[in-house]
Amino acid sequence: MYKGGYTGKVLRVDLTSKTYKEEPLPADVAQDFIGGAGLTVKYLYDEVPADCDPLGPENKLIYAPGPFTGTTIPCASRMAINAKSPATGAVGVATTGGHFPVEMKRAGYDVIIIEGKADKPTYLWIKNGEVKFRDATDLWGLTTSDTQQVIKDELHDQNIRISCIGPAGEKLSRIACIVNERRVAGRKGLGAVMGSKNLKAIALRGDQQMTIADKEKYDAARKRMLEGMRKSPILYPEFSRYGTSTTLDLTQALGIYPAKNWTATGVFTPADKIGGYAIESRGMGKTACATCPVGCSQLRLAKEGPYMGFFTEGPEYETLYAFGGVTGVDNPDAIIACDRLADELGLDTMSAGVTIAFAMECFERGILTLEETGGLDLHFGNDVAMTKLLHMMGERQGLGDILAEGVKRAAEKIGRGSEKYAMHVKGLELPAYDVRGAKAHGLNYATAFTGADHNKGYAFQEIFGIPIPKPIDRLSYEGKGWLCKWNQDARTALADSPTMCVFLMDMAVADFMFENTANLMAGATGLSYTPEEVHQVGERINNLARVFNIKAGFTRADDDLPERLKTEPIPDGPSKGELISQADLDAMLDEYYDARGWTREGVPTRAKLEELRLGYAADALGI
Amino acid sequence: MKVKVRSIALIKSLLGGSDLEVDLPEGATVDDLMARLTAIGDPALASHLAPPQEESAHAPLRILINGRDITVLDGRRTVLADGDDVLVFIPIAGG
Ligand code: SF4
Repeated sequence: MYKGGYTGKVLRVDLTSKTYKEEPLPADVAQDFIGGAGLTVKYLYDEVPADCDPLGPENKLIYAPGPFTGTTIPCASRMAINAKSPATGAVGVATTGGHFPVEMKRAGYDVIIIEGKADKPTYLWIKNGEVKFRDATDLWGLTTSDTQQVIKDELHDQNIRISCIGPAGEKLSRIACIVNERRVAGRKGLGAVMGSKNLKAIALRGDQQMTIADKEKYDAARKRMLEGMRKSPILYPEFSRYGTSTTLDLTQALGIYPAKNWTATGVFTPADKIGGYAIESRGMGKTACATCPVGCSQLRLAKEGPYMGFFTEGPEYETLYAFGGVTGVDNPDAIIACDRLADELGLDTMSAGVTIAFAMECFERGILTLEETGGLDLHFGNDVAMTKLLHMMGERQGLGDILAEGVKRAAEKIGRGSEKYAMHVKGLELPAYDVRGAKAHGLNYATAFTGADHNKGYAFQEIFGIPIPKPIDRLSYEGKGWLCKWNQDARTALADSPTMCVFLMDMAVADFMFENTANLMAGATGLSYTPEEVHQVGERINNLARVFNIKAGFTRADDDLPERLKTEPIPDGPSKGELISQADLDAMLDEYYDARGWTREGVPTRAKLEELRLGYAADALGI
Repeated sequence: MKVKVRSIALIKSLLGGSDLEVDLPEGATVDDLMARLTAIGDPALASHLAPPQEESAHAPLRILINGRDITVLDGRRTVLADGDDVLVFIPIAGG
């Protein structure tokens, strides 16, 4: 049984009947799934019918920080939110940092499960064991920062933490995100799930302190981690100063910064205008998530042109791709403005940018006419048109109404051969790494249980050259099935579940990452794991999520990459000529399924599921 | 023979801010190239370009030849060829 770290309580809220109750967090569930993403996958699997309509009342919205959240472990300020994704129809877990996750623990909960649908716009006010269902009719239509401010004013407490949606979520955009402070659980359309429940926000406040199970072990583990952070040659000197933005300079140097809807990688190279070093001139200081001494979150101000005065927390690397490379825009101030605009509307920057880039390619190819764009000249690089279109997507006006569905459904609606320009896997738009030049990273896009999700199995060996568990050649195919599994299980177990900021994994504790989590778990919760058992928790979560997806109708055929990546080589630059052919993808998939102990059809075997204490999932599959 | 040297961030500024073309004798290795760069760049380069003192888990300096990391080639003993494109930098992880 856990003796610290957890609050031990699950809050279940039914919006239909306006009732709530508390339940204990079972000890074996904590041991097997740790927290965060792990717990949300477990509850989703147990309680949400895999074949349900993601926007129907049967879907549930599940929040879970981890056992480290709310303790003094550095950078453990994150949480996972999960539901069946309206973008993919698969498991939809997304993570966010900031301060809300810590406040949720202080309010007393390891998990909050939101069920049903409110009869009118509602927000929840949760404080020390009491839940109030408050009228949100007047908040409907407000942007995310206005929503947070109005709630704080209404409740007369400026220290409340709020998780909410903007107009995009209300209007059921399948690329809508959930925002807390200026942080987002961005991907997989979770904002639409919240909107479908007529839930505008969750506000909470609490004062519970986390218990620590074994102070001595905890202090020793924490000290070792802080030492790793201090010793890192990059964490404080560089990362704290630039955040994720300089990844653009790196990916461009490697020739894998995707440009113009993935037609111009290595050709359009804007690092000198929008790379991390170039946009330092827009810097206005930085901020940090709770308990983080690093503070990688850069604050930036648009300084020129029509965007002057726009202020944002960001843009992160992914956004420098979404409103930069992939749309062919090299105006830093436009990117800053669109980053803020997307957060305010409650749209995921990545999905929005890739969907706009798709519309741009359709326009350049004559598939979309000036009439259909409402007079917008959607050539690549037109930042004014991009900004306008983003706004139209948030409010679902004109062409924006179709694009708010995300790139997969937009292409299906537009038709006329546009489907081959829709860059997504399983309905989730592609992230900012041209994986034709990073093969394990590409295999992760194809197989991650949430769709094309870089964070689910980030191949940091290929991108950053970190030789753990061993040196990896980003351009070779050998061993990539094994590596992809290794990364997916590691990320899930080490970052998304306990929870811990993923940047620490790569930069500070890479050489003792499993041990680090095992030590911290022993200290904080009293639950004991070997480093291998920690890794296996990640494997368990990946397997259970896979079974949910199989029950939802997914097969090997869905573990795919867009046609362009399989047939069109990178046109220029240091990765020129690279692609991932169907044959190479098939070979990697075979190796990946073998490494996972799955059939070549991508179905977990009973033996594997039983080894992971998931026999009930084998029963559900009838195997 | 001539090799092209590209760099980013700190290493780039210590090398004078632009890409370089470096003349090397036939058979020169990555180590030879690093010694040459140390000689022509800012003195502060020495500590960054020197081979790692101990077999640390991950040395911060990253060197790629024609897009391939030297850790999957012959490390710092990798022999360079005329026309090679060498990328030298200290990466920041995170994306
Ligand atoms: S490193 Fe950045 S993202 Fe991670 S916890 Fe700190 S501020 Fe948050």
